[in-house]
Amino acid sequence: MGARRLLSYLAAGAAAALMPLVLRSPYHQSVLTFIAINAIVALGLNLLMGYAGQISLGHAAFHALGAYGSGILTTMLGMDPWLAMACSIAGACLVALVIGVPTLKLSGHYLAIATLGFGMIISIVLEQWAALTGGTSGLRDIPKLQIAGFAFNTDLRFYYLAWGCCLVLMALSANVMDSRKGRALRAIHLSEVAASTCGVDVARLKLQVFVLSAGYAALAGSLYAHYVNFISPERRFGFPFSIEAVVMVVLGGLGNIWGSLLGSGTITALGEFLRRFGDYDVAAFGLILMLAIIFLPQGMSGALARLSLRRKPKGEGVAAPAKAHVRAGKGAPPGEGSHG
Amino acid sequence: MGLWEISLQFFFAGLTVGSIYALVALGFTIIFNASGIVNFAQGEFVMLGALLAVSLATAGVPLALCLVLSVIVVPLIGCLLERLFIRPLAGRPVLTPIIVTIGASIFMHGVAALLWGKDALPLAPLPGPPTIVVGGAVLQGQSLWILGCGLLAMVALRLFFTRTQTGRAMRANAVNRQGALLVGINPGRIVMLSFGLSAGLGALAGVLVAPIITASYGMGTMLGLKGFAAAILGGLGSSPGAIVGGLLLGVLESFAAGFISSGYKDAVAFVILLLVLFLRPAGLFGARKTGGL
Amino acid sequence: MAEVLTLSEVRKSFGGLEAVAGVSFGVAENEIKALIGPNGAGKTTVFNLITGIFPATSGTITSGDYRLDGRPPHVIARRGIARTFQNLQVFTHMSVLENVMVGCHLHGRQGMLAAALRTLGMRREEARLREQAVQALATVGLADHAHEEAGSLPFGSQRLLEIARALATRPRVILLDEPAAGLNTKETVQLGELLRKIRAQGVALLLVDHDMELVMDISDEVVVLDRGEKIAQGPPREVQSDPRVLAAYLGED
Repeated sequence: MGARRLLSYLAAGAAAALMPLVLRSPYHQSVLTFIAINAIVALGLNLLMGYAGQISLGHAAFHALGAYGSGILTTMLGMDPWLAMACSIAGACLVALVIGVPTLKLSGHYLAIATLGFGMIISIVLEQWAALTGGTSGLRDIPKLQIAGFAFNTDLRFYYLAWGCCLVLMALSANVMDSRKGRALRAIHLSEVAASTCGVDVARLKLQVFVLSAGYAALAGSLYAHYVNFISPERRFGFPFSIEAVVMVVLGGLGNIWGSLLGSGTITALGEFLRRFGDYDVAAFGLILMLAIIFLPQGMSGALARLSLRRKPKGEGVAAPAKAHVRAGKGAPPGEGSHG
Repeated sequence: MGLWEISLQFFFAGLTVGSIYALVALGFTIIFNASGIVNFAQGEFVMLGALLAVSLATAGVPLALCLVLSVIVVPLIGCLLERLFIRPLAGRPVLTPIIVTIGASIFMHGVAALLWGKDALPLAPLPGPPTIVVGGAVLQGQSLWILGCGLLAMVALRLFFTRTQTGRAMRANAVNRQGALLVGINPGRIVMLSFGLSAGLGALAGVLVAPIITASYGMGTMLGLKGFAAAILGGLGSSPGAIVGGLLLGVLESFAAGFISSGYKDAVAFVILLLVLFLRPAGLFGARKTGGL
Repeated sequence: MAEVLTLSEVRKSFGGLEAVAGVSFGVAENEIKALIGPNGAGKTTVFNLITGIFPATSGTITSGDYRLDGRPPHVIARRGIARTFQNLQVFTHMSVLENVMVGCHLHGRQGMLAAALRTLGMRREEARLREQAVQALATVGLADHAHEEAGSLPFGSQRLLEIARALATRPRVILLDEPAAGLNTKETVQLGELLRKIRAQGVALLLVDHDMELVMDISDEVVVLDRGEKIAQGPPREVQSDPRVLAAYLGED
């Protein structure tokens, strides 16, 4: 790992480790825990949207598959929570594989809509298939995670688990983006045509990153289930959360790993903050969202990068922040005598 | 009731809700044709139309006038939305207007909850017999109004697009933006008009359907998404497609709810959506190729 | 000499329009061949057909023993066919070096897991790929700009970057789509020298361009298309004075 990257993650790890000393109340710790869990979803989605340049408006579905997978396997089959988590993630990835093949042939609006449709179907099934999922009453008494008797049954303990997972995944993701496959992925975003003529199997790589992002969302879902120990279809596992996830990614900055964390932190904290305004929270969220998108086209990480005004030499070791540039088509196919 | 009567009932119910979907789908189509944008806030226009009518009716305004006023005021909101939040988005990637319109939808949701609360509010149906029996099937009187007004709206739209200067300008713009610019058509105005027009269609749908399903701040979401599915089914960008798609979706949904399961009824629209996108993204009437605009 | 690329009776119709109407020619090892013709003759369409952007309506495209037609672009690239683009498809928000390293994609095998963990094997491979990329950059003369953002390079350099990227795939033949478009005289001369250098390294070239001086200067053979059909083929001098060719070009204006 590049020395600079290693250092920044160690610093982040240290900050995360020390934060509970500053914010001692379980409430604050739980908010931070949710930030970490959401960041994992945002990270996976960022790989798909920011780096590969695709769109998903249905990612709550994979999050739900992870949560419900864990919930159902542990409460109904008595499976070991870690095994259940692994199975749920694998299941979500399998679903992503199946749905991804036809879906990723689409692009632009059609891709967005297809993912939206898929997300809606999953959330309706979760609500309706009460025998399996508990319907609108949800699943309760989901067991805690534990390793050799050490149970993650306090806010503080789970905080460390969640942040550990989050930071490790971020570091691993950054490594991948900086590799042969990661370059190919970024290339697809910028010009699918050129990437394919360089030997990149575009369809396969898109599918791989789609499955990967589903896995991230599912992991986060499992963690959520074992943290809150109760899940129900309401907001968290339907269209509203799919949108929240997209907002986190776009607001944080597409194509920027730290941006996912920034976006998650902002939106999660914003949600908590707005709650005290009672009924104004939804309207305020919508308004803030619109204004942020209009005035921060590169998201917050882009704005921060501009503020610092340094033009970093784009060497290897740092994944260059790509612009918020999800394209409608597959990159202009070379036309007969046409110039753009 | 025999199988025939039941089927007929489902059919009429399907046509009724299908007309609503068709109106919403037309709204999507008009904006899409004018600007290439998919307006995720379309459903909220339906909601605003319904709730506005409820307020007017509560204030004692006669029902027919409520409808007219609603259909006049909501377009203004649509134009305002376009002016404030869509206009600044020129030249941004495809994802941006999607998020902005989603944000607008969330915003309108929230504002509606503040202004009208979260309860379901009733709206009196338009005058006429509460139920009618046709061929053994029982129809709600309001259904006839929906079908009738829906038809009227579509005819009016057709006349607008073929007989009026503005309407023809909008069509020209949809077919060839450069050419339209050259003959002096102002694209900015066209886009704003398209938002206004679509909002009006949405409001009409809202006022017509509220007596049946009651008005509430959340009624727009599903209607919007399903109207959208209908537009895709018919072919995004095709007006006859939107109408046929809407009616077809309504009928299919109705039969599925009746014969298979009413709990999963909502899923029908999305399953159809996925099937269309996977098998024939251009929809029934669309001529566009797959993948993007 | 063996042919690295062979087209045989290739046709392409778009709806009612036949853009390519039965074209046949080949590119030999170490050959520089030019494909010329008036606008709309079908030259870029031929390129797109060769590289698999869209399928041919009929006919065959082969490289040695391998059938290329009907295969997806990345498989064709694997068979040693590389290309540059008329309307520049540089990966703008990546560095110059990273652009060329994408060209090395085929020469690596390490997957995402190895990348995530930065295994020794992965790091060795990255170093090897980087070395390959640096060599390609050196060939075109862009080595000093390795860490600049590709989109910030001047136009002519971006064209060179595309050539470096194509070279990095270690191709048998590079298809160059209007490489001289937008270049000034000096740059065009340098391009010609570069292309000769590449040919000397064992890579065949098939180029489409409107700059007749360049074409006549460096090509071993010229194929002339007009309205989707091949109307002449031969050494530059011959083709230049072929009355059918002159008629086609004069008829254009």
